[in-house]
Amino acid sequence: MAAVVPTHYQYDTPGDSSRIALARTIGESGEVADYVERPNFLYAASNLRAIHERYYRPTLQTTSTSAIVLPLYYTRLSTTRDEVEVFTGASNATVTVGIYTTGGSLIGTAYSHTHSGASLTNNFATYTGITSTEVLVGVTIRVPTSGTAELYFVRVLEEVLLAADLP
Amino acid sequence: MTDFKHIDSTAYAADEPLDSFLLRRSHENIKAVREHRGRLGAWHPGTLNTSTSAVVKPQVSGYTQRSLIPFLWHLAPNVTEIKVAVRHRVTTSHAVSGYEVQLSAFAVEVSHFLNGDPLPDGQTSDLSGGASTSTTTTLTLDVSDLSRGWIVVCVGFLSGESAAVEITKSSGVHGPEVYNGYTTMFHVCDHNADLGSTPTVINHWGLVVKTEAGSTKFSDSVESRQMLRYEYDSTGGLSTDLTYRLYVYPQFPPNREFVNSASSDNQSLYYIELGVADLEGVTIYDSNVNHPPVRAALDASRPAGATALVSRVSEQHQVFLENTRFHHLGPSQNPTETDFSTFRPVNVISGSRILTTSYTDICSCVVGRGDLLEAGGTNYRRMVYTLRALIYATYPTQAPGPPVPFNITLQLQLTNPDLSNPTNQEVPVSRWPCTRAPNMRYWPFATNMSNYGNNYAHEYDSLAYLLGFGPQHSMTGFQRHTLRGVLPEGDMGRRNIFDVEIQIEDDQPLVTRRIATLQAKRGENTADGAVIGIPGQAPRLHVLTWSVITTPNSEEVPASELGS
Repeated sequence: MAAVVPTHYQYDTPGDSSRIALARTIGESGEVADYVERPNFLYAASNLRAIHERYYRPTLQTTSTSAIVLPLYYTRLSTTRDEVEVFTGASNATVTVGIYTTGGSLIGTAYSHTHSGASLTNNFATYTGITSTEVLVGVTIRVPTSGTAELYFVRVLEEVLLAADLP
Repeated sequence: MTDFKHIDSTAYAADEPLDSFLLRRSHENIKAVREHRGRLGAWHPGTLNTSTSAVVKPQVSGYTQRSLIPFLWHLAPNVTEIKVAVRHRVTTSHAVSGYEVQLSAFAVEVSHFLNGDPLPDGQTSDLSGGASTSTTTTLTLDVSDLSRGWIVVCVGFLSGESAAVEITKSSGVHGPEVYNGYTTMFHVCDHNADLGSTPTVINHWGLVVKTEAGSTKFSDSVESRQMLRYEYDSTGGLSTDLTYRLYVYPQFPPNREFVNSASSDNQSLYYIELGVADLEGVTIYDSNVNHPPVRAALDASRPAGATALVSRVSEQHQVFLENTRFHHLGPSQNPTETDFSTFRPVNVISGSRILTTSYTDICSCVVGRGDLLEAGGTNYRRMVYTLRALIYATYPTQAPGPPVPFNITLQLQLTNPDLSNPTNQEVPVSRWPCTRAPNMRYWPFATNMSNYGNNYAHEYDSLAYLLGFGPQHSMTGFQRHTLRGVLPEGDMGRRNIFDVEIQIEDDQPLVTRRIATLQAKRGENTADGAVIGIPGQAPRLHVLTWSVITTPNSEEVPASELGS
């Protein structure tokens, strides 16, 4: 049966065994199993949100070695989703992304990375543990040691819901 | 979300027969997903001053009419309500009474926005001034009557006003002595006006002409106007009677008058300070979705029989296709040109570039990882993106006239994050009408009002005048002012804004994070074969707003992927 149910419907392949077992009980073939897993996939993967996205053109530039704090941007996560991916592109820059409550209290520093060198490099990391639906995103940038820091882009992307997070 | 039900072994005890259970619960889970997780797009402007590292945010005002910022929103089926959350800080405190800034939002069909139908008031919120912290104001819009697919959501700003303040001599007396009149583009004050000596000043002001007593409007031909900025010009060749140029929007009518040229000088120029909103972000999201309830599997009027799963699977598939990720929403901050301060950026909204015969980048965003499930790296991933944009084209000229056609090619390019590995989709547009914008000429050695300013500026389209504001004799300057990046409500609906859509399928299935860039280039000459006559003169493309989504509808999941 597992071979019949497409992998992309299984958000947690080992954990899907009970559902697949049920489908096997009901269905003569893989059709019912597919039908069962389809909503699971939709539940996990549909309506994902880019909760913060900005490609700076021109690039965001500073020579400051102290972190320059951009405004706290209002955004929202979907209900029960608690994980984001932060993706940045920069040169000679230390970039952080914090997730805040709407009251301005820091929930956690989702991301901190130093882009070394004078050429554009990119990096991403995930952060889990956001318990609020309404949040503020705070981006900072600074020069690691000397020179000019350039920030090309920042994106904070809502991640798919894992099976463990199902209510 | 408590509505979601596990479909697993607990069903043995809870529900029988199991097939009914599966049908019902599966549908309810889909319904729960749709109703609890609407789509969202966020626009977060602002940048840094490259000299001081200070944060620069768009500052928005609207004098006597709303300044609009449009957003292209893609409405999913069954969405009846959206919310528009505006993050702002209104630090000014000028209004004599009422609101400092009135915030509004409305949603209309794209055709409604472009064709000139009156725009609705929408939902409003009166904002107070003097704020020291930022606030999020959320407005709720009913979209149940709008077609699904692309719509325009506008956020509007209308300023509260201070009492009028007379511009006087630096000694504080006799305004008429320093106010010399107006050209079609600016008011003129002499060197004694109390306006300081900073070369360029961007104050959010309304400008009116009254008698010195301050109570009588001089003439309907000198209507109140919003000031774009004022310039102090003490160059040697210019008469000291003409030191200050206070540029206004829209232009003045053609019957140019010299209000204080008569023997009885009694007209003064007054400014009205406007409430200004520092704009930090706009977030749009679905707030009410009415997904159809579960249908009966049996029809009472027909013989008993099972409903095939095909229709239900199709319905689920449609949900997947129509609920797609917003990768980008709203205007962009461009271009890379320097302005009068010599410190980038020139704009804090407004994506706008002069075109050349090779591709010029206009705006970019990050795409990729659209609704994917990556476990094992073998799963289905969406590869098609749709860009939708509202674009206006201007062409700076020394004389007014009909739009100048240019063959322009747009290109949506996908690259890796390091800008390598491009995939391109070109869209050629023949004879794109570029609306003439006035070359901002004025005679730098003018000796009096009669030979100062541009006598033909009033014959240009006022939106072209506004969007193209800045190019001087060299055509290179593109400069900041109080209405940069916003659209005055009175200038909407003349069918001169074009609605453009470009779709691209990525050919790099193994690269999950990509950069989407909108580029454009022009033909060598105008589409009529005329050559560009002034050095530096070229059509300028203004991308007023643009959105990028993972593409719905036209992209089908292969049957092999679906396991059907």
